[in-house]
Amino acid sequence: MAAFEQLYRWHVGRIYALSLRMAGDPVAADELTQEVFVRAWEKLGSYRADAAFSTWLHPLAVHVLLGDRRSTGRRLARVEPVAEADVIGGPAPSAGDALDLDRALATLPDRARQVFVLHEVEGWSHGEVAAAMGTTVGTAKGQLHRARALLRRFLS
Amino acid sequence: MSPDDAIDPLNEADAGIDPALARAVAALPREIDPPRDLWPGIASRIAPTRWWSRPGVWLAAAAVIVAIGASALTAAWQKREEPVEMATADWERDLDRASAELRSALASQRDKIDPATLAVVDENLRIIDRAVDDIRGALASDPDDEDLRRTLVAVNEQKITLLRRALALPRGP
Repeated sequence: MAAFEQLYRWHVGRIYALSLRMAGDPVAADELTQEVFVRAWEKLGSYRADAAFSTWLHPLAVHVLLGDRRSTGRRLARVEPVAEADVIGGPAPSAGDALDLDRALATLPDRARQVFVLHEVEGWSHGEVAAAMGTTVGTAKGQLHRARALLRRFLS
Repeated sequence: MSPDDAIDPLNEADAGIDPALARAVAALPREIDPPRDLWPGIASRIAPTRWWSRPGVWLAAAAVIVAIGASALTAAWQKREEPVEMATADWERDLDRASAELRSALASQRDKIDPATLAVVDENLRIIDRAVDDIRGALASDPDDEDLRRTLVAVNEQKITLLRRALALPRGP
């Protein structure tokens, strides 16, 4: 188990950042990060060392994160997303501030936030995002448009 | 109607991200440390699975460590890797012999290898050896398990690759 703990130490920062952005709140991110590594442990036998471990872990993490949100619909202790009007009328932090963007992401509706994170932050294609989320490319693009518009207003 | 509502979302999504928003995205940290150590919670959940009785899992973890350790060596190794070509007959015995020869060669050159690199090699070899012991123990009780046998061969191949990389590293004076 020491070997797996080492893997956890190396990758937890990346997975926690992804979990935090996908879930939108730190309490859920804690739980989801643990779930990702437990699932990775269970599926470790399917890893082939001809690819980087992170290349194998990352899609698995997204699958866990999306699956969790889809299957349970839970929000844990997270605060409900604020209404779009509140985003528009809220404080206007300086553009380009990563901390502010993370705060703004947390206010987005779940699907819009997840599409934005996967496409803009993680670099997934529209097709990959749609497939992972079990939706169409058109719907994913629509969510992306919505997320961009809300964030643009938040950061302006 | 707001300006955003007047835009076709599909076309807008293809048009690309607003430059200011793109800058904010680019400034996001790739990694964020969780506010607390999550490992104890993970360990408590995976421990009941009796990991020590699942050599496939242990071996895979070891193999991952080897891959990562080997990638650190690769930077110094300069693309000279050759495939491990072993006889197909009596594969395990050949691998054992090759491994022993390479290990002996490495032992004779330890003083010429960077200590930090050597530490990585040694740690990975320890992990592999433990994995090999685990799987041989499992094979002793289940000698017909082909999955275990294939995994043993794969781990031994990784050991040889690691040893060959270590031996191919640039030497000091």
